Amino acid sequence: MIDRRVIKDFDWAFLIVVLILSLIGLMTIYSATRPLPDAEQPPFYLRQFNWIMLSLVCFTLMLLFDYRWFVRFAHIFYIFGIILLILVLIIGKRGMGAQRWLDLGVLSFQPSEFFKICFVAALARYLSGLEPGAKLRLHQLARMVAGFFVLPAILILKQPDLGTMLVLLFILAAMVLTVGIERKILIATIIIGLIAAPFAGKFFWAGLKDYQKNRIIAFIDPQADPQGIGYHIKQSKVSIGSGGFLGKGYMRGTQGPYRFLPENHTDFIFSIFAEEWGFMGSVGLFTFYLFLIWRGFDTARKSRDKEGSFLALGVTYMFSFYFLINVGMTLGLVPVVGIPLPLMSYGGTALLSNFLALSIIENVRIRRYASYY
Amino acid sequence: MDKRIASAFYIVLVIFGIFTLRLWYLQVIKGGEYRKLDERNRLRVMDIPAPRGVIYDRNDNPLVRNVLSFDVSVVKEDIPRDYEALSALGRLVGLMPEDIKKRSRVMNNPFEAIKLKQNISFEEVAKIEARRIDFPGLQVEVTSAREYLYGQTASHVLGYLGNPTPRQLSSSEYNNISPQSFIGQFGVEKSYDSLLRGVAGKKIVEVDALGNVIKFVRIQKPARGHDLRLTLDVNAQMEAEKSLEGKTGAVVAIKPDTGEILALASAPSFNPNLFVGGINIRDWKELVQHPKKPLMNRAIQNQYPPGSTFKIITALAALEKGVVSEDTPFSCYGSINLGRVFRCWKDGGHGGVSLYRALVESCDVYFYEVGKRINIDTVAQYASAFGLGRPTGIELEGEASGVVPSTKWKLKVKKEKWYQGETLNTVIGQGYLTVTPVQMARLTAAVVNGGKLFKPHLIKDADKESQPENVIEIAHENYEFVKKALVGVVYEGGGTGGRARSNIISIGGKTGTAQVIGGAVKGKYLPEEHQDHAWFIAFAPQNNPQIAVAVFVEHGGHGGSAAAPIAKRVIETYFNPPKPEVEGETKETGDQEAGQQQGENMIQEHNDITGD
Repeated sequence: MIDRRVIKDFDWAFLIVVLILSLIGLMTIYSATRPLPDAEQPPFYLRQFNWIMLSLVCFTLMLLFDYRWFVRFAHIFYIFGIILLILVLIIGKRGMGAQRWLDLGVLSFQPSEFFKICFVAALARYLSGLEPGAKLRLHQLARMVAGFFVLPAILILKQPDLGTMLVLLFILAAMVLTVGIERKILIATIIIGLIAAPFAGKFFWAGLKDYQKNRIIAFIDPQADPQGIGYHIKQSKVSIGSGGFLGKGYMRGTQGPYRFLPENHTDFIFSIFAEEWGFMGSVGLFTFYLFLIWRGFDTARKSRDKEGSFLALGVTYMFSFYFLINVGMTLGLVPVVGIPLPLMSYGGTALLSNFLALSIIENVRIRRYASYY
Repeated sequence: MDKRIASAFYIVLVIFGIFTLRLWYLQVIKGGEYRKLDERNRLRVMDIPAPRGVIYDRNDNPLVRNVLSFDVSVVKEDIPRDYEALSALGRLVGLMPEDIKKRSRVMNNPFEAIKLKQNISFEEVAKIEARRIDFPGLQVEVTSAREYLYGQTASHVLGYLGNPTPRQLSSSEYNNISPQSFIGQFGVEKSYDSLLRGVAGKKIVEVDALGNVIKFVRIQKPARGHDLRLTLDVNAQMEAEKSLEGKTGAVVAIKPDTGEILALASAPSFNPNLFVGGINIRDWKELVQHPKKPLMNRAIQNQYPPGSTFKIITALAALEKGVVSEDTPFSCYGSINLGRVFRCWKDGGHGGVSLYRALVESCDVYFYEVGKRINIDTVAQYASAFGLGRPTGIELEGEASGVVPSTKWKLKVKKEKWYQGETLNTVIGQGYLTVTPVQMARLTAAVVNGGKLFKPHLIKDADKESQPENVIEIAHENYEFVKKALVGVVYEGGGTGGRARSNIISIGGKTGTAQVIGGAVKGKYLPEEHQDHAWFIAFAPQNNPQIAVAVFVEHGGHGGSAAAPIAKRVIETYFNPPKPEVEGETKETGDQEAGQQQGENMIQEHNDITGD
């Protein structure tokens, strides 16, 4: 079933960089959660290692299926995803002020992580069915927004998970812009957006949970410090800044283990890495991420068909968005949104979904010369 | 579409560039600054309070000690921000939420521990430990706290501790003092704070965000404060306070040959243990708003007319200047008319009296006659020589100076010339003349020790022999005459001080009754605030006096009835201290016995004198 060319064209560099980043994440989690004297090392790193192994298996298994199957059955995946999103609101597990997890007994699982891939697949299916080269029309745009975005956005906001909703919005916008849209529609959308913004903003603000409002206030004015969010941003900058040019050295960072920086092994893992590895290490880390993003765009361009192109593109946008928002947040350039750093942050479902997403890029890439059958 | 994908990648590339610049800014340009912030996060300088010096009485009985104290504190950063949680924390430690907020304002560093309460009980410790999980940053530390072993006793001398005021914090005397530390704010605790306080040590530790100490970096040990030995005799002190119970007034007892203060009591008093760990607002208000002002030290801070006790000075001045001799007689018919009627306290009059009997019976008319013949400035000169009209220099704050009126004083202060009638008022201790109890005790000491005026002091300095400030040149026989008359006041028929008569030691004394309202109105049935002030000054034994006492009872009525018994009790207790109660605690029994021995010797001596 697998073409020999498929194996020959396997992109080893891509997989190796993915694994390197996962292992750097694992090491950093170990350092960030290392205990104070006379305590035991909490098992975060072990759980993460297990998830990496599981994710690697899934990454490989996914490659056995031609990506076109995903596109063909995208609407089924999509509906399945929506059902899970509804289920999580009904029987989901609460944690940290939100209802995001489905308890599967052995492990708990975040449907919204899985749904993002279904969303990309559904968009790819719709976009590849349109006339090639033509710009999007108004009714097509409206169909995409109403058909793919509105319902899941509401369900996800209900959890609430602002970060994931923004990811969906970003993917949609980026895909639309990449396909191309008639200029007048674009301008009209921007104008309507600008006029509606204050009203929407008000509505949006009223709909936010207190902790979300605090994050935005803290970003605009760190001195205001509601609920200590300004403190997170400040401590993140202290962690990164104190690393200096060469860093404090692995296992020598103090901000994490001494618990000055909260969420140090999840959303703020980059700060811990930058504290220990310094400017040089961080630029090196950027290079690895940039390589993956470049490979993603490159795969979209080289894909043998539109389905593969849109799939790779959507996944690349998703990955880039996560990286840019997370690192921007730790650098104090973007408000604190609960978004993990792909591949490195502690967290099983996110890791698996990132591996699955990247596996799609590999899938498209290895089949770029394969013949149809 | 390929072109658009390329531009998307370029946009990502630009953002990566921005991130790299931002990293360069944070890590390389601002790196040093952030490293310092990181160290400030981690390294904490903690004060190790120095054990405060212990205060002993003259017989080495500790009056104050340091006891282990459990203090509860909370890291400022961890103080709950919402009111409900703050109230819950307040309920746990027994404070109002506002109290916690107020306390937290003292410290700037968000990671500093804010002391909430000192010296909590074991039950409270257990309660707090059990709920620590709900309040991160809440911690119980073991430190030392002051305990005033005798409660209210000598509270005005010992004083109390409190947090430094903003002004003290900025003064050089108190530099390097933590705003949360406790320093002397009253009494000896304040006057000798720099000695008692010692030098706080420091420890530099590495802590985590919850304030848990991870490791010690450096420790600088504290230097213990110096101990103080006071001149007080705790037995005499306690007796003085016991006899003032329910009254308003003061007792000062001085050792005549050194100026050491044996007892200094002011009533009503307060319990300095209330101030340990910071006095609460309710107790403080109660103390400050009390109509009788228990925080005021009446022994040194209040000035009153001395009444007839001043006749001692008038007599000495008159004898010395030859205005009268020991035998000069005058007749007392109860009053004297000098354009205005000056009354004797005894309506019927004393008949023919000598100076001796005039002192014994406290005849006012006799002294009016003296007043007619003596210059006010001469009286003022002797009064000043005996230390009136200026602070005695005792080691306590806020001492009043009193007033010794003279012609010059009146011109300067009242802008008027002196009237003869005012001299008559002054020589019997009324009018403008005012004194403090400590001044009167010193005056008595100087009269009975042959004119040596010592500075009254509270600190027993073994290395230093007390030197008199001044020796008042008065003929020896005149001193002896007055002393004899003072013993007559107590022991002779008609003497006003009969209530001070003791069976175990010979006491001399002089009564004084200072009028509060015009002399014409008399009677026991006036409301309290119009009752006269009662004075009694005393010494014992007659030969080689070992103690001089001044007793003042505000609105007490007659000196002979209200003040004299108090003087007697203090003197008897000084010479015959109560046997120490048998307690579980081991006290320095050796010294206790020595004190006992000393008392018995005194009694022996007294018996020798009066034995024949």
